[in-house]
Amino acid sequence: MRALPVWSAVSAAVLTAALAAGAATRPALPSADQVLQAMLDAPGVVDYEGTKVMTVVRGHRAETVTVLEAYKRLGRLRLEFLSPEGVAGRLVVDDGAAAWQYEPSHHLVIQNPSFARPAVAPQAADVRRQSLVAVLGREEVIGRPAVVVVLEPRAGGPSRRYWVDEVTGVVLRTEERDAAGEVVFTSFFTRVGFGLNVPAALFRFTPPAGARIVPLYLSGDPMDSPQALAHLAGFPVAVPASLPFGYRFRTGTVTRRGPLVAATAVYTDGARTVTVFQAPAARFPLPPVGAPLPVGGRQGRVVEVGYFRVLLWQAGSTTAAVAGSLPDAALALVAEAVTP
Amino acid sequence: MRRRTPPEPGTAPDDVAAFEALVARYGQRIYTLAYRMAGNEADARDLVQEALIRVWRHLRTVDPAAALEGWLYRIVANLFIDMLRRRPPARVDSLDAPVATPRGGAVPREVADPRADLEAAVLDRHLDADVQAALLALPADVRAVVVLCDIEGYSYEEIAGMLQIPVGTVKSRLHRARRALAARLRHRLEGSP
Amino acid sequence: MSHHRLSRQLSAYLDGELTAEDEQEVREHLARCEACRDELRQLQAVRSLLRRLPEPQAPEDLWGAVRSRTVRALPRRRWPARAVLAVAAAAVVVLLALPAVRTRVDRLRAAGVGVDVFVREHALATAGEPFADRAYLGLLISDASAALAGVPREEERR
Repeated sequence: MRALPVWSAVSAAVLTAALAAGAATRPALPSADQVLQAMLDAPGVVDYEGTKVMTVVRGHRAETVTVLEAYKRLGRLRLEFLSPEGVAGRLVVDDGAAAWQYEPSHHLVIQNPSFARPAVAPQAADVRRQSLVAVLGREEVIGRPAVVVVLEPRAGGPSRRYWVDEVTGVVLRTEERDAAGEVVFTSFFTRVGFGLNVPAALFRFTPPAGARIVPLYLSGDPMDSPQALAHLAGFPVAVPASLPFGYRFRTGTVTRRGPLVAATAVYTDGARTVTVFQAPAARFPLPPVGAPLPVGGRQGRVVEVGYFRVLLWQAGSTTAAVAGSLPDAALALVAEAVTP
Repeated sequence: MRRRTPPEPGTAPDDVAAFEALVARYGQRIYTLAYRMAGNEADARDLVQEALIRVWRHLRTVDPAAALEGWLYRIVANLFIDMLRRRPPARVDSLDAPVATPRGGAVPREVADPRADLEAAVLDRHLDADVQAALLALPADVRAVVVLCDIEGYSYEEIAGMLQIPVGTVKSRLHRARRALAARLRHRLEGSP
Repeated sequence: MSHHRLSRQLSAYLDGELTAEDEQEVREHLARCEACRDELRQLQAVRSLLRRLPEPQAPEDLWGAVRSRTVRALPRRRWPARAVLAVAAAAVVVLLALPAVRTRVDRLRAAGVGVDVFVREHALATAGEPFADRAYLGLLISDASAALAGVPREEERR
């Protein structure tokens, strides 16, 4: 049984009703550009803290994750996972310099790089270039007026609906649908409070006494050209300057983790990201995971991660992977572009 | 049991989860506030327990969108002032607080520490004790303002909301507090920028 | 303002809590008045001393004591009908129809370290996207990091 489509049908009905009711009495809807701009500005404008429920559906299974989320300008983040059991108690504190993760069940602290990337600073125009954007109407989310906007990527792939708080530009609710129109990811606040000053102390992390601390940085210095990355890798890799669908090379690095050495290239179309990994096949055999997908006549495999997918394949002496939120056919095209 | 107490929450999973989350998030910070206000572990413990029991009782009536911390801190501050009224003030100056000298200065109690070879740690501990003694010498209402501002990092307006006093009062109490602390801690401030 | 009145504004000046005009007035006075500059330095030193104070760690057993007097102290009652949680509850009821399992973990486990590294690095690269869900990326990154740091997957729990 698939339950989420039922739910989305309900929300569509609510939306229609809200539209009908709102048309006569409410002020005019903002334009798509205005909504996009409010969303892009929000991270610099307002702090918030709330409880968020996320659900991910893959095939016939779903998982629900509840998390306390607090955000402070610019880019500081605190996540406390409440459920399911497997992640309950996990704490992630991003203080802008590092993202600290605490796993209470193992009394383990992991030091990740901060999630706040050096700003890609996309413009509303970049977003509109890669997606069709439409304002659907107004709807209340947890008692707050929100504008509903839909983004359909021109290259295909999941479409996303955002319920954007009219006052702050913060997304109160998200719904992602696959090509068949089924809801595959939802995320919504069940409670949220906005302020201009969520206390800084929430975004400081002190490792608990006696905890084991494991630093997990991104490996290697970033390379700003495809040539530099190809040169540094030390094994044959293909690093084109651009990929299909308008993705351009942004940065690269040589990733090392235990036995794994991979050349990692990050591409962007201005708003979204695709990452390409290439490793010597001798050290990294194709893992037997995911669903089969042919890549240029070779066997590839797709792993669904919920928010994006990873396509792995082997060509000659290289095992490669591409990660992004693109549909199968588009992922396969990207894969062929980097196959030597 | 006082009158007009709303019905207590049951052990429904929602209530328990909400309360646990609140304790996980704010527990340590409430303890810091309580410790800096009271100056010793025993009183800080009492304060935190009483405050969280009150929070638990009123959990159902909390507006989740309202400023939760302001409410929590107000509970702690009010409890502290209640506690001072109920007890002779000497109780506050207890074991792990430093000894006040007749001249108004303060020296930390000498405590044998097996790790005393770590000079920096000892300095820190003494510094902490000195500052805590200077805080305890302030009147409670003035102390609350300086702890909330300089240790907990709240703005004047937020503190005014928490303690339900005018912003002007926050401003004048804070200035009084810092001047008094500067006078008491002069020996610690030399050489500081 | 007189010297006396201005000197009482110094704390608020330090905290940036004055109006623009008052701040300007204090700044001009400071340029002329050595005594006020000294006092400002002292106030600043006090403030930085307080900010540097270590956080006193709450005793380990305190939270247990709190629990035994709150969540564990009361008899079981009916479920609350809290408006706040109604939205969450509705979603949970709908989703309970599905086996709520963390399928991602199962899928990724077999892939070993490679897929974890790819997921983590891609999720970190994606964190700069304007409309990414921070909480979900945080979950993906922390799941992958935990696996890379050697935390066993949760299969034992089922």
